[in-house]
Amino acid sequence: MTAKSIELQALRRSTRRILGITVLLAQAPLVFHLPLWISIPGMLLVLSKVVPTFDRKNLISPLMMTPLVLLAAAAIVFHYGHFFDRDPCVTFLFLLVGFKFAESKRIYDASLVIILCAFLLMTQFFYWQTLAAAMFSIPAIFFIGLSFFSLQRGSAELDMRTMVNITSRLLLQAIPVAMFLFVAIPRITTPGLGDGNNGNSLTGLSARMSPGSIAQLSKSNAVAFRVEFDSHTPVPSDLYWRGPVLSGYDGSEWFILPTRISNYLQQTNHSSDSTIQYTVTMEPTQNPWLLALDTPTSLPQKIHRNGDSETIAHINRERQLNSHIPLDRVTRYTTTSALTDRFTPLSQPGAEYLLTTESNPQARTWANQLRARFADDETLVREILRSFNTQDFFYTLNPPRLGKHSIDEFLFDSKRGFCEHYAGSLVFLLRAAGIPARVVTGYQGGELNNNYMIVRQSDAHAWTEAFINGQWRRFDPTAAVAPQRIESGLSEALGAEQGNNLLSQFEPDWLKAAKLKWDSVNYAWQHIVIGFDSSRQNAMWKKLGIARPSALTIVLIILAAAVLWMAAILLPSLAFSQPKPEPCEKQWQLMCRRFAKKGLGRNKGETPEAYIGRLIARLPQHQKNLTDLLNAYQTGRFSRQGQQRNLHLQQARLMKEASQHISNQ
Amino acid sequence: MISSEKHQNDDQQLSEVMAQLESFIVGKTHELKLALATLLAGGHLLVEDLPGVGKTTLARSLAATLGLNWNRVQFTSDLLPADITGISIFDVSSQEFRFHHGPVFTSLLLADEINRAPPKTQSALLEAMEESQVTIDGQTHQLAKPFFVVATQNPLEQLGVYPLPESQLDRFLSCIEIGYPSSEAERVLLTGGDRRQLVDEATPVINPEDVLYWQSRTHQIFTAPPILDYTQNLLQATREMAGNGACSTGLSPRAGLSLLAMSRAWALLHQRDMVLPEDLQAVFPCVAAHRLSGSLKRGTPIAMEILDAVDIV
Repeated sequence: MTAKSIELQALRRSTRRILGITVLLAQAPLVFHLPLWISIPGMLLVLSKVVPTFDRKNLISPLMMTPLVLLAAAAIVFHYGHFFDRDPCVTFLFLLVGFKFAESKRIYDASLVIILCAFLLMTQFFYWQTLAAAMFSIPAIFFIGLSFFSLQRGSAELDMRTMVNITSRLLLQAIPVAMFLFVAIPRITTPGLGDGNNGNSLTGLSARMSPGSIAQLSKSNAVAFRVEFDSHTPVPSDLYWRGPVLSGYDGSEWFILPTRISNYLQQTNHSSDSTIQYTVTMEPTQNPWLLALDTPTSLPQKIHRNGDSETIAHINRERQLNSHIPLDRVTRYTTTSALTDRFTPLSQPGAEYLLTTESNPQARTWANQLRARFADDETLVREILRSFNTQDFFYTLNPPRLGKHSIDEFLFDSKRGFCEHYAGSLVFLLRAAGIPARVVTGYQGGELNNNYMIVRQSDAHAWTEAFINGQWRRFDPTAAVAPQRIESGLSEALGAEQGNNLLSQFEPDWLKAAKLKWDSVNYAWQHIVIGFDSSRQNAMWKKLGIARPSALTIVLIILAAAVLWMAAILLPSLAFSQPKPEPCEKQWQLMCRRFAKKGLGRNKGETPEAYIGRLIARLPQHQKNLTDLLNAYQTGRFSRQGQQRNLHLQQARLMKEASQHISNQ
Repeated sequence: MISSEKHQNDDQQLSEVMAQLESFIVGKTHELKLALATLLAGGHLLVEDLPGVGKTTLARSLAATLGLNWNRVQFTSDLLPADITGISIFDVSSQEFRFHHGPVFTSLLLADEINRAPPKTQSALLEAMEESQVTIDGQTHQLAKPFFVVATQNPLEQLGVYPLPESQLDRFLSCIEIGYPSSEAERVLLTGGDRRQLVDEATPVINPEDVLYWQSRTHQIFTAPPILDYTQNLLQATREMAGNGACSTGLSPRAGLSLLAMSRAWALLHQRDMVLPEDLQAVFPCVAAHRLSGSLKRGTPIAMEILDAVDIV
């Protein structure tokens, strides 16, 4: 390669700067997801090459490059403990793009970096697919386009404004194409790819409940699921979202016992207005539990666009809805519930609902005393709830840590707890008194946002079910201690205390309203864009009259659409090849047209001055504004200064103002 | 860059020049401005009118006011080229040819009744007007700076006239007619003193250097792209007219340059540093009419028609 051709291949400084910004923008969204101690140096490396002072020097000598890359790989293995997995690989790509950019000197390198940037930008969707993520990528996509432009512009020196203009226009023209490709290209369903977070880092209900676990969950403001009610919205005290049922107890933790599938649902013998239908959109949890209002009367259905429905879950004997597959993506289902706090099972509960442990002697003693005093089961339960209510029990997010006999300590000593303390203790007491009982976890309440309801992790709740007189009945000890929790939600019940945990308490109303608005936009995004899967795509094709199109058909459709779109863009510019009038001329023509409507049109060959003179003679009241308009027009259009863009625009503004004054008068 | 103070000073000077010219030729402001603009644009002026309306007075007034040397050549049917440019005469005492400068060696040449001379003599002025120089016996002689020809011609309908060839007409930047004075102006002329004497006694307002400076100022007047568009449209319209047979020839590119130069001078006379469509319209008839059909009488209506037909961008 001769010296000259190397020279030609070299990267321009301005191009390298644009490229650097592109890399930074592609890296930026990943900072939220990758370990900071790796991602920050990775971005600083790129940043240092963008700053003018350093970009001439060889920041990293070519000899150092290989050891540095190996060091980066070692750091990643050190952090994650392994390498061949999604997160370490994304981190490695993140760093490699930075290294590649740092050593880029030729056009070939730059094209490679741009393509790597595009790929890196896509990896952020492993972690989140929200509207915010999509918006984060817009500037990066723009800069990818700008880099390509800057790279391919040849020797012609285009100024930045022109490049930005053309790139923006190209991007805008590409949007319909992208939308069409999104709709037309067959959707591939890949489990695990959808929403990052492999398991434990997700917040949500879990299979085990220990004192304090729900309180911990309540501190999260994350959305658990959203609900649209088909008819009326139930009152808050009816909003018991039934989740995992915990029947097992090992002395400190409550946990799920394996249960047989029952598929026996509540008979709809209640009046029809207590049965409601609703659609739940659940965030991914990696668990199979589906939430439904107590008590479900049908199995959750996934409704397809074409009206077909598909059952996606089964119900077990504890009336726990379980999806066929763990929820690794946003899941949407429709179901019905009867708003009731009791349920008649087909069979008597087994001995497992009476199991207690040898611990907590005081509680057992108290249960025995109560049993001796009250023969009736319900009276006994009421008595316990009454003592919760009358004695100085406190409802708090920050209960003290409890020791071995946790229920004893809670009931007779600290008397401070969150819903799981009350629910767990009540179940223990009832079992000790010989009444079958179990803990039910889930959510209670929800926040209404226009036409749907948001249920957050902070609405997580635990309550008790006891088998009395042949029925499973719901008892919520929290309602006895802090009735506001059930009526108005957690923040109301905790008052000042939870301010430390949920900053939302101190948010001004407008911010809260804006957040809700944002949530509804995000919900629409989830529903319309992310939720567009292969079944909805098939439904769309069916609606268009092409059932199950073959790959060839799709390619032909895409080609036809591309040709149509090109024609739509190109034809107008060919048909109306007249250049766009300058801003001042545009204003002038607007004014001429406005007066022409009043019968005072400009004659052919009439100069602006003559025309304005004629107008002033007819409309003397506008003399000042018409003169201003004329002066601005002549300055903007004919003077030397008027050829400078900003002054020209300024004159156009003056003309607009004068026109407005005229029309206002 | 010339300071705005200097500009104001110039404007002052221009008004003084105009005031003095108006005192000599009463009631003809527009024509005087056109004449002055032609001079500022560095062009030559053709005055077409009947005898006795003040053609010669106009030329003499200009010379007197601008402080220019002037010569007058009365063109007749027997005038020879050498009578204008000069001749080499053998000097017996020094035993060599000595160039005898003709009347063309001056700043302002008044060529009276130019169309009474035969074409050969008329053409003798060609080189002088275009190149500001004359070549005699292979020797080139530079003319004065500024050099300005004011030619008068009698209307073509009169007897004993040789129409100016198109090439010659094209070299006159503008062609004006003075016309009869208004009744008030005529009264002033009739009662006032002898105009010739007034002109002779006048003191110049400015000097030839000022004229050169103004000519350079005229060049700096800005013509915006829309003005160029308008000019081109006007030129195109005259060519279409010629194609339709409405006039003999369309305007040449030189006529286009003349039009712009004249518009700049017109803008300068109106204290502007940019050319407006008004300026083009004001000077278009006097620049275009004589080129379109050889005489003002037939050319002016055509020029006005074109102005009405061509829109401003």
